[in-house]
Amino acid sequence: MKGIIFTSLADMVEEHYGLKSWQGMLDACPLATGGSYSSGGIYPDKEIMCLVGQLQQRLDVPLDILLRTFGEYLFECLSKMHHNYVISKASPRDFIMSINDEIHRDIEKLYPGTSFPFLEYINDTDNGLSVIYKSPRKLCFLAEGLIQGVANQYNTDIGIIHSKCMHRGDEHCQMDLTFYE
Amino acid sequence: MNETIKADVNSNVSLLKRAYSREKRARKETEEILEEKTLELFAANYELKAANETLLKQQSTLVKNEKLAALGELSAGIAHEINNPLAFIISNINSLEDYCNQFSEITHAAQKVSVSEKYDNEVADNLHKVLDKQDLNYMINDSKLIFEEVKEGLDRVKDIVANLKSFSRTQSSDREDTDVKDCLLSALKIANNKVKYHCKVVKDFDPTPSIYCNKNELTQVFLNIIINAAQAIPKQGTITLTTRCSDDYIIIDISDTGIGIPEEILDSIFNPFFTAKPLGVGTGLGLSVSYGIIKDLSGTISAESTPGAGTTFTILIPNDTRMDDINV
Ligand code: HEM
Ligand SMILES: Nc1ncnc2c1ncn2[C@@H]1O[C@H](COP(=O)(O)OP(=O)(O)OP(=O)(O)O)[C@@H](O)[C@H]1O
Ligand SMILES: [Mg+2]
Repeated sequence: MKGIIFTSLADMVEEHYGLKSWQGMLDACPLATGGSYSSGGIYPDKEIMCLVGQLQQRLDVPLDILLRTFGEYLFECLSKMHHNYVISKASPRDFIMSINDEIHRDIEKLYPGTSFPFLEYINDTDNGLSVIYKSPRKLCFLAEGLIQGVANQYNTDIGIIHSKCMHRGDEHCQMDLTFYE
Repeated sequence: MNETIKADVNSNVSLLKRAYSREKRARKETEEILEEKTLELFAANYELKAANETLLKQQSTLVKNEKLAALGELSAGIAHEINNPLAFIISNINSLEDYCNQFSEITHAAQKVSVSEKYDNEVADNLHKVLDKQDLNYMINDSKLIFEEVKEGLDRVKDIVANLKSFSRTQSSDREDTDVKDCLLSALKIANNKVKYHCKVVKDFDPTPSIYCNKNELTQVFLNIIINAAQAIPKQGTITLTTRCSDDYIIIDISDTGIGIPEEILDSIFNPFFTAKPLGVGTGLGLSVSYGIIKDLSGTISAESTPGAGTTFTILIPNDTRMDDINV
């Protein structure tokens, strides 16, 4: 997993729960890197999973809520780093539809070792769009938060209904989006 | 005392906090710059790779064109060298044939004498013996065949030399406004016998502006390609002729559903004397001649093929062939 996911998590924890929490989380996980991450590096998936697990224990909130919150925060960091993508898309719908074939694909080429979810777009209507999510990491709640982040970025609301979910035994996840003007 | 230590520690902590957040901001900035530069490098590298690929392609066409130009010069030289002796061989053979015809008339007359009773018996007898011993009748008949074969051979040599010359394009040609479609149709007519029994011909002609060129030569190009296509189709197949137009070019596609061209010879098919056909079937000049003619029009001719499925020859001719004429 790319370092920016780690540095974003660190920033969020520091900002909202203090340096001590972050240090505690680092101390509680076996980390090959000793916990120093830089945004351009690639680090083992299991380290981020352990850190998120630690945070969940500390805050005592359900994992889906934590991932949603983190997704929202993460999007701010990602879009700051890659603001070109945001500038080049006129609407949140355009932006979301460019993630799979443009944004993620570009980064995949640039950073060997990263791996991305497979996103598919169906039911493209006037104010609706469904996003199919498939990934062995099963981070669909993170995706929800990231989409909320897109809405924040464009100063609009996006309704999200998680109509199918791998965590409920479906083969893949589906998020039905409604765009409000 | 205690209070001063406390104050000291507090101010140190606040200094550290400020330093930490300064460092953190600096690090963020560095990472952003790094990410941006990485992207730029990636894009630049991508462009370089693409440019390099184009260059390599251009280089290989350049080498090929140079090779063909050198071959053109060589063939022009050879054609010229062969042409002179060929001319006097042909003229001498014709004279020789005339003489032989006269000899055979004389011989016939002598034969008549040898069997005639009007003449002195001893002379006639001797003549008869000589004529008999040499089997003159056989020689006379055989000579006729020999002349026929020699002349046929010379005709073939003449054709090859003419083809070589037209590959090297040393002659000037009569140009006129020419409709590509007309040339395709007359080539089809000429090739009819080699096409009609086993090939379906599909024509898909978009109207094209006329080309300022030599009609016969352009027809020759299409004829060569159509005959190759027919020869490449073993049993039943289709030959498709299409004409199209882009902004700058008239595009002619001739495709067949024949045996295709193996990749390892695809680069050689435009070379003079390159043939994959059995001895006597092909001389390997058809495509090289075509190449010369199209190049003269500042056009390009190329082939794409899938072995086992078929071949497409694509000819691009600039819309305004008159322009080069003016430039020259
Ligand atoms: C500027 C916008 C975005 C950038 C630059 C970006 C970039 C990335 C990066 C670097 C990763 C880590 C992959 C790895 O290291 O293996 C990632 C993962 C992910 N991205 Fe994005 N992303 C963006 C927007 C979004 C949005 C809006 C969504 C919402 C659907 C999304 C969905 C995900 C998910 C769910 C993952 C986790 C990996 C997985 O599920 O397998 N991304 N993205
Ligand atoms: N449509 C085609 N399908 C398969 N092979 C082809 C086709 N056109 C050309 N070729 C190959 O290219 C070679 C060269 O063609 P070219 O017309 O120059 O010579 P040729 O046909 O062999 O002889 P010539 O045309 O002088 O009678 C052919 O021998 C053949 O192997
Ligand atoms: Mg031929």
